[in-house]
Amino acid sequence: MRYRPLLSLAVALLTAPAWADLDAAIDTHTLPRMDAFAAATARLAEAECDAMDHPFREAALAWAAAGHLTLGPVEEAGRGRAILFWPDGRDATGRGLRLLAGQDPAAWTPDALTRASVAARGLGALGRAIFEDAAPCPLTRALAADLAASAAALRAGWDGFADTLRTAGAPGNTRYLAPEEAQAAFLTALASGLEHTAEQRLGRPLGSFDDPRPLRAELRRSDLSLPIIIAALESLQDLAGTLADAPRTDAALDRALSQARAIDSPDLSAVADPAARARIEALQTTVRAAHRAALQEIGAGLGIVPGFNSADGD
Amino acid sequence: MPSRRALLAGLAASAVAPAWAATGATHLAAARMSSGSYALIGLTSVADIAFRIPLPARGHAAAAHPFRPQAVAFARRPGTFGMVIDCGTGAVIARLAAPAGRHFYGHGAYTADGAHLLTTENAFATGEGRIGIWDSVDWRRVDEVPSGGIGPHEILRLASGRFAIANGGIRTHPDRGREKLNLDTMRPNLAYLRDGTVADIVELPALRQASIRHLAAAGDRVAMALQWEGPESRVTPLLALHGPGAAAELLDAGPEQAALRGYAGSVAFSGDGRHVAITAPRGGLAHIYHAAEGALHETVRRAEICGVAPDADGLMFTDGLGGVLRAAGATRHPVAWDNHLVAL
Repeated sequence: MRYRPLLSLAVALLTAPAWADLDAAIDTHTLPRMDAFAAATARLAEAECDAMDHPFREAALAWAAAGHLTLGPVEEAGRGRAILFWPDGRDATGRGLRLLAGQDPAAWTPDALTRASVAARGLGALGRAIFEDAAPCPLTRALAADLAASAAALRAGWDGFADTLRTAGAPGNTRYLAPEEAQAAFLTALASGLEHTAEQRLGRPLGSFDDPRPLRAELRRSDLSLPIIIAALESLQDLAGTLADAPRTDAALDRALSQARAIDSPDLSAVADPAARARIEALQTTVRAAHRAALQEIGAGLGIVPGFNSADGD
Repeated sequence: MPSRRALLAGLAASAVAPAWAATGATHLAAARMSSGSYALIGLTSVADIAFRIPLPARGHAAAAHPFRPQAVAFARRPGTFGMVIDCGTGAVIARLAAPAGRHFYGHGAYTADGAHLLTTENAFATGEGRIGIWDSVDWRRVDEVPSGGIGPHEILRLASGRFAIANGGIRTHPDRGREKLNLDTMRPNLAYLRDGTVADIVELPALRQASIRHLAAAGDRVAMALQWEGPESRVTPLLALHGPGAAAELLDAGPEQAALRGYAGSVAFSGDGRHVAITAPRGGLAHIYHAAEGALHETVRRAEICGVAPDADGLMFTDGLGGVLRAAGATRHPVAWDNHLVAL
């Protein structure tokens, strides 16, 4: 994921922000979503193979509401990518899953899966296994147990990491040398979540007018591509509200949500229909506007350039 | 005015040449100021700002003269300028312009006697890497030699007086920005330059799509920081060590390796040579290894971390949020530190 548009943040800083308490971002936004994701994946891991459709959808939507929180324990051990490896332009998930399915069933344990390719783990692989019967039942259950273990470790990691955020600027906290660095970490999560939604979740299937790419939609096999976008936008709107008083961001997200709910194409296959496509393009335009508004309204005054080195690539 | 005793202690600890010591700086880094302008900054041994010299655009790395308080600040690639700066007065001594058909990659190194500066360059019509050679008194370009590969990025002077060159292997052309033109056939290498000729070439056969970009050395051991250009689903080592007469050794952090997101931005040995660190600005962390055993020693987590250099016995790190991390503690300046930190 590139943070190219964030580089314009520096010139957008005009007014001082009205920052809410960092505790709100942690206690009312983050921790409940990490709880919900851990609980949903635990239910999926307990389900029988012929009854996984519903718990899978719940787990995927719980991740859509939490996956933008890329700060903290999700960065460790490549955990985020093992939860959902997407985008996947080279079909690494399909290949990885075929490789696993061809192995001795003795290898289908959650422990062995931690050493498999990240592309063959997590929600992407489970979507194939459940909705395309791409894996035998014991492998599917091992994948579900592996996902639940990742979610539980992520939730557990947040206990300590929440303290790291709350003690930003305190002696000994070298990860966040000032409170605004912790705030900036949440702003980066918000901005990159909006950008990911506009450029990847919508942009990849949209392709171009002459070359739409409906098969690139996220988790399309389970008809979740659009529901994921709605769940993500709802969650990003909640985060924006905890970070600052940001009326233009909030209004843009209201508009994006009503546009998204009016689209009748859960797998986003309508990108290939010239008439319906315009609605999906309009949604993308609104999410981009929300992204710009968030950087201006919430980024103002932080004096930080997200992506200065991480997006430089040199 | 520091006391003579403090001055001598500082000299002993850092072995900074006297003329450099007079500037108060032990390290150099380019940075973006909170005003949005750019500067070359000298940092003291306690991470205070010793001097700040304006730059016309975003910098990348600096090359420090071995004993004159003189540095060359390079534009980030594909840049065509290098500014030679007197760090004692802040005066710009000369501006280096890449010759027609060449651009700089953002790194350079002085010869041990300080008489010449070597710059990594792209002869972009053919894609061949070049090392430009400049006279450090009148700043004439006196010669150029092949770099031994495509896309030479960092060049480093070794204790022996030879040079190590990271030929990143990636072909680019200024008409196409930073677009990578040969990822399927890329062949990066570490080349050793002796008396102006490429004497040895070391490859990483297991990692052909790992671009070798940044270098550090302790004695005759060279550390390479890598940028993975192959499939994103593959997690690879991003640090390689090479010593004379042996194949390169790859180091990785096991289950924590994926957190680096396929990209190491800088590399340095600690001042005592016992540790070697790579920074991962995309992953927001640095990994410090035991240099002898090759095992992971410590993880440092900071968003936008990228610069790293030896600091007394240990290491100093800088990041895009303004942080300067040392073994003795951390401080923060209202700047965004650019990719590289250079120890004087």
